[in-house]
Amino acid sequence: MKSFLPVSPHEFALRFLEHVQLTFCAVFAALLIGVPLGVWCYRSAWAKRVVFPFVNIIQTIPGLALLAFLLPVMGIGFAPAITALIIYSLLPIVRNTATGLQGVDRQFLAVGESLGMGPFQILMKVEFPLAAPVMIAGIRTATVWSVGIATLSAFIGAGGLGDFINRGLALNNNALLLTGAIPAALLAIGLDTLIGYMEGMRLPRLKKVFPAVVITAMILLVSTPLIKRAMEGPVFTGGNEGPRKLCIGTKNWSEQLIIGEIIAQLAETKYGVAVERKFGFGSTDLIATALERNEIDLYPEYSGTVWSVLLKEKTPPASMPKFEQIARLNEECVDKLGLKIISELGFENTYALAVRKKDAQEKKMTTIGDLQGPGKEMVAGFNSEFIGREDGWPAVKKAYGIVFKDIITLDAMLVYEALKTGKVDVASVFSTDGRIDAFGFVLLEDDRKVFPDYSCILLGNQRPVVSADIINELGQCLMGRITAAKIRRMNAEVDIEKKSPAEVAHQFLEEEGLIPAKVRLP
Amino acid sequence: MGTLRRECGFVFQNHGLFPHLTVGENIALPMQIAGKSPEQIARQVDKLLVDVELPPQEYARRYPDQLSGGQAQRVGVARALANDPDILLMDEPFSALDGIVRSELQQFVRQLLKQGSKTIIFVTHDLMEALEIADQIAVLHEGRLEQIAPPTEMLGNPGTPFVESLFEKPRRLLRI
Repeated sequence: MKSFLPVSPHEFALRFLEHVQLTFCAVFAALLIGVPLGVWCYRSAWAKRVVFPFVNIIQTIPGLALLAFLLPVMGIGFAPAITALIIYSLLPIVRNTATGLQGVDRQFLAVGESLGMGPFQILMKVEFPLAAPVMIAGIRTATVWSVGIATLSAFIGAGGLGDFINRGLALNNNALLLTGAIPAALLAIGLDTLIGYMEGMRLPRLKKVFPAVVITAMILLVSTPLIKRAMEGPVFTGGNEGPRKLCIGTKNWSEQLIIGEIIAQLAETKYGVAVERKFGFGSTDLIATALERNEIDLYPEYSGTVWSVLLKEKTPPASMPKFEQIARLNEECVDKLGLKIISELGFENTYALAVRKKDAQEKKMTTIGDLQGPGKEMVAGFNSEFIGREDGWPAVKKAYGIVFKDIITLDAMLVYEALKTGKVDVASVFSTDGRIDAFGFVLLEDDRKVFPDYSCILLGNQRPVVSADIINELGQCLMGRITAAKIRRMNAEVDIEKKSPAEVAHQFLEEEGLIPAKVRLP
Repeated sequence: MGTLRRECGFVFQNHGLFPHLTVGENIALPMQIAGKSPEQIARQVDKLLVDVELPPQEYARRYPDQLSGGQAQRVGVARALANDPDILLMDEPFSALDGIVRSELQQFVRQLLKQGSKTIIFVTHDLMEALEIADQIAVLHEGRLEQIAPPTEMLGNPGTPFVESLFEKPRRLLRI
């Protein structure tokens, strides 16, 4: 029976619950912090001058930046995600609490005083109930924002519906993307409507439903983690006891997910190791920090990225022999990051120039240098990073002295389509993209060694918290195994044929004889 | 100050009932603050509602926005009387009400006075209302006390030029 969801109902329910849990916990905690802050701002003009600008500034920090900011302090997972959400939820709650209290008719305060109520009694019995609609409007805004921002939590391994969105984007799989995006949107609309309905209630009616709402919210708050644990229970039996599992990380695109699956399945099947997949990190900084903190044990990276992003150094000249480059990189990693290179997988994912196979044959082009003559009649489609980077187009132009008829700036993902349909005649591509073979392109050889080395390596921590033997075994086993042609084919299977990374990885391991072939039932 | 407030009942211009509490809860509030027992409070709420001619079974569970202006002000008076204060301070209590409702409530205040156990301080800008209700009238002008006197003296023997000019119109109306 084929479900209309591209994921199992079990996984869907789990991610949905995670999302609800993130949102509810965040808004609940933001209430505990924000309401007293709001009261303080209402009572003291000084507090208002300090707190309001502060919560306003926080609001302008982009979600991913805030997560990256919290990472060195809190690491990855639920804690930093919920912290980010709480910080974001503060503004509407603080602001609406203060505004709501300010809006209470002064007459009622005088009445309260005349009845002999103290300031605290007036706050609880008069001001809060009368400010309730405005305060609820603040909770409503905070909730809707949280549902939206919680989708970013997947970038730091906190799960939620963002996980599907993240994977959908990575795999260029719209069905998967929408499996995350639509329920998240519906959740936001649903909660917005529900809370909006409460906001619009007359005070007496609001007072009647209020206890029920609070009880429901508390039940949800307490029960979601329990349900989640119950659901996770049978999947990873005895997960919490015994030694820590091997945690494999990846960034968020197909190639990374495929390599992640290859390592994970190899560890599980060949070495019988329990594996936890922490796939889909949103940026190099995030995943490298997770590795430095031993929250993951290894992940696939590219040598050039380590030089430029992590070490913030210039890449060594492309003319330097590759083994020497990798050896130097390893030294730097050990010295400066406390990380080490476990394995070199055998392919490079670097910039390359691609042309259509037909043109290559007709004009006899095999190297970039061969563009010198024909280039004058060709239109180039480059992405903006390639045009701008020192080791991109400027370096190519200088080394090969090529002139094109025209250069069009295109998005990195659109150049393939543009080259295929003839809108451009030569394009800057990533050398392992599955579309190169699928669309019948030929890569021109960089014989003058202009493009820096972007060899795919496995990065690990120098002081691993799991068995170093297993990690080294895995690295040895995969050393040089994945050629450019193989990864291109696997990328094409995932990106174009829409197979799952797990399926493609399994097939690779079978073909390589690294795991026994599956017995297929007729 | 708190004790003085509790010995003194307040009636406000726009009834000042809390919109999120029922009629019964509004009346009960000052008694709760004074720490009375729930049974005592329930009994007193019913009695007060009967006194202000709003049958408890019909009105106790209503919310202020379900009452007419006159009814709401009666509840306001009931709330002010809840702790049986010695002094009742009424700050222009009926100025927002129309004529008929107003004279009904004025009558109610007079009855209350006749019972003799309470001092009522009644602030008003309506001279006819003052003359009709009060035993003693105090005229305040620009923060100064002009005169304290019973209504007849106020009309017949004004103490200052201001009081004389103030009561000229009522005097004319009453003589006709």
